[in-house]
Amino acid sequence: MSAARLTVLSLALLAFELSAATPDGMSFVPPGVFQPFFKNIAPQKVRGFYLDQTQVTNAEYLIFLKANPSWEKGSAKRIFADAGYLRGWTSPGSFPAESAEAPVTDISQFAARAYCTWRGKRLPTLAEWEYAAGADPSHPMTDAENARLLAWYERNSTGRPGRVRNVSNLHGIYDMHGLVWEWVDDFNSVMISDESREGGSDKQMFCGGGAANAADFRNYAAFMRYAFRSSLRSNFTSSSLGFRCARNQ
Amino acid sequence: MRKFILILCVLSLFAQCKKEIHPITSIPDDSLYQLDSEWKTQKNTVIHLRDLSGRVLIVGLIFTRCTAICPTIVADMKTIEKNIGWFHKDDVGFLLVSIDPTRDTPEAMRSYMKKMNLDESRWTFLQAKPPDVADLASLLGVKISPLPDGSFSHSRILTVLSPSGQIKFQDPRVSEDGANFAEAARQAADFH
Repeated sequence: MSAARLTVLSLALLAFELSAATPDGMSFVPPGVFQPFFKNIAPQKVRGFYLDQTQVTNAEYLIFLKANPSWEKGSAKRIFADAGYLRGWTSPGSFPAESAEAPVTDISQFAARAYCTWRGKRLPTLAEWEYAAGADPSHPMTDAENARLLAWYERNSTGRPGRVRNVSNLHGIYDMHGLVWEWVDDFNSVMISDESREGGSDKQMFCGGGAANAADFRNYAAFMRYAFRSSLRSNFTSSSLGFRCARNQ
Repeated sequence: MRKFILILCVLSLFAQCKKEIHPITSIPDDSLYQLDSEWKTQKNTVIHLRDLSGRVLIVGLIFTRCTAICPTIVADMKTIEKNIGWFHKDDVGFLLVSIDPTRDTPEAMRSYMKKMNLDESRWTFLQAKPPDVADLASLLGVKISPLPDGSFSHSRILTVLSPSGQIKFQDPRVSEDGANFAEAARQAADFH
C-alpha cells in the first residue's frame, strides 16, 4: 500500500473516530438487551446511545428559557405545562441561588422535550432509561441496590432536591436513582393492568393483578417507577420529577 | 305512523337548518386545540384539531383491526349518541382517533365507519403521525402499549371536550343508557 493511500485511510479513520466522539457531558451506553419489568412486554434490544451524565439543572434550563421565552413561567400554555410549572422559581427567569446546580423540576414532558430538541437531543425512551439505570458502579445490570432505592422512594421528600453529580454508575452516568424521577419519551406506553382485554381497572395496579405480571418480583423499585409513570400526563409537573436528554450514536 | 315520520323528517330538517357550527376564534390555554399537529380525516382531508371546535365532542381512541375492546368503545359511544338524540347533532359530535395510523388509512377508517354505521355528519375519524397521536393520548390519559403481534393494548377511557377543546368529563365506564356521558355533554354544550 502506498504512503498516500495509507494517509487517506488513516485520515478517514480519524474522521470516523471524531464523528463518533462522545458529546460533552454525555456517556455512551453500549447496546444490549433489556427485559422490561412487566413480562407481558417482550425483551427489547437497546441500541448504543448517548445519555446526559446528569439531569438538566436549573442553571442550564435558564439558558434555554432566555433563548425560548415562550417557555417562561407564565408564558407557557397550560395544555403544555400545568399550573405547577417551575413552581420553585421565584419569578420568571430566576430560581433560588442555591438551586443552580440542582435538577430542574416542576417541568412538563412537553417542556423537557422542547429543551432536548433545542440542544439537538431527545428524551430517552423508557427502555433506554431503564437499561442505563440498571447499571451499578461495576455491573451493567443489578438488583442489589433494590433495598437502597426503596428506602429512597419511601422517604418523604419535603425539601428541594440537592445538587447533581453525586453517585455514578458503570456508564459514568450520575444519580439515575436517589435525586429525582425522570421523564422518558414513551412513559405512556405501559399498561399496568391489561384493561383493554380484561376490562380491568387501575386498582389492579396496586393489588395482586399488577404485580403478577412482574418479570422479577424482587425488583419492587422498578414496579414503583412504572406505577409513578402511569400516573402522569405529558403536561403534568411535579417537584420530584426532572429529566435528562439522550442522543443517537 | 307515516305522518309521525314525516313530521319527524320536517323537524329534523329544521334542526339542521337553524344552526351552524361556528369554530371558536380564541383558543383557551388549557385547550387540546392548542396542539399544532396535522391530522387526516376519513375523507382524506388534512385538518388541525382546532378545526373541530364549536361543538362538544365525545372522544374515543381505537384502531380498526381491534376486535377486543374497540367495538365496545364504539358501541358505548353510539349509546351516548342515542341518549343525546338527533336534535342536537350540531351541538355534540363524536370523534374517533386511530392509535394505529400506519394501517388505518383514510380508506380503512371510512369503511370502518360504514361497517359500524356511523353518520359522517356527526362522526369524524382521525389519524396522524405516531408521536402526534401519542401526545393527544397522553393528554387524555389514554395509555397505548404496542403488543408483539402488531396490535395494541389501550385504555378504554372516553372524554367529553367542550366546544373550545377543554376536557370536561372522563370515565372508562359508560352507564347502560349512556346517561353519564350524555349529561356531561349537555352540560358542556350548555343546552339544558
